Amino acid sequence: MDDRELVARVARGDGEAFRELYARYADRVFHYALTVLRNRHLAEEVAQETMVAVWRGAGRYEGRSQVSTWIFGIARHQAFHLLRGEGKSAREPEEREEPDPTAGAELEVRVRRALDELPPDQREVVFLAFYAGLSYAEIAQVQAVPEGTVKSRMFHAKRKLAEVLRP
Amino acid sequence: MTCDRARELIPLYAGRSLSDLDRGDLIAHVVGCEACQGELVETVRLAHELRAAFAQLPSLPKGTWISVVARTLGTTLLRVELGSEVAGLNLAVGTTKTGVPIRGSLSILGREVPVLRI
Ligand SMILES: [Zn+2]
Repeated sequence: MDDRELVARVARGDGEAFRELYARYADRVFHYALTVLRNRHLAEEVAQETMVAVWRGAGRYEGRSQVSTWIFGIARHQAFHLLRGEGKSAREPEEREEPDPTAGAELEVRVRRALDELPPDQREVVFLAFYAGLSYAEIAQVQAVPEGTVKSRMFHAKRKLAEVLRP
Repeated sequence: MTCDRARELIPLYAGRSLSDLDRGDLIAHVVGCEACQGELVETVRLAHELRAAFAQLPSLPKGTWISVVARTLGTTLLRVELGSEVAGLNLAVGTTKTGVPIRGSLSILGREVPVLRI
């Protein structure tokens, strides 16, 4: 069943459809929030709030954008809501979690460090384009900026990543 | 297609979100343009490395689903019953907009004893 059909069923209160939508998206939303916020506790909260908002807002989804774009847009809103201190969590600083040295090869550790060096907006574009597979137009919808801004963020992010990873 | 346009499309090719039409046009350009070939190879490699790094991120804790269910589907789906015929633990999670009250009871030989307020 495709994502749109799932959302339509969720809008009718179908618990099984919601379970499936959660299985498809909750981890991706968590990874997205973790990439943007770099704070595991806040990212968990964003994932939870986003999935609850998906349940409550499914009836208002009009199908004009991809389901992924719609859900990441909600997640972004939740993340900035929390960052502004309007959520139930107080503002928390970014964590610079040192990657577990046993997890992943040396290259992956270097890639994560390179990502950490990027401004948050660029890190987000890189996540949405390469990991979530969104187009420029879709990322522009999520970030609520013109497509040209997304292209420029991608251009600068790629250049910086190349500088750090291939000196 | 110009090199500038190709450079715009290459990240989407690497992210696998390019439409069939654009992908065809891009490949047609790249085949005849050595500079863009280099850019394509480098970007595909970068995208691969980034995906591997993102894939190392931890999974969402299982408990999040229980919290989400408590706030959405409600008690119908969430009745956790543990234990044996002699003693069992029953947890019911209610739905409110302000929080997630969880109450439980311990049944011993059929007698319900409320014990929990988490
Ligand atoms: Zn070219």
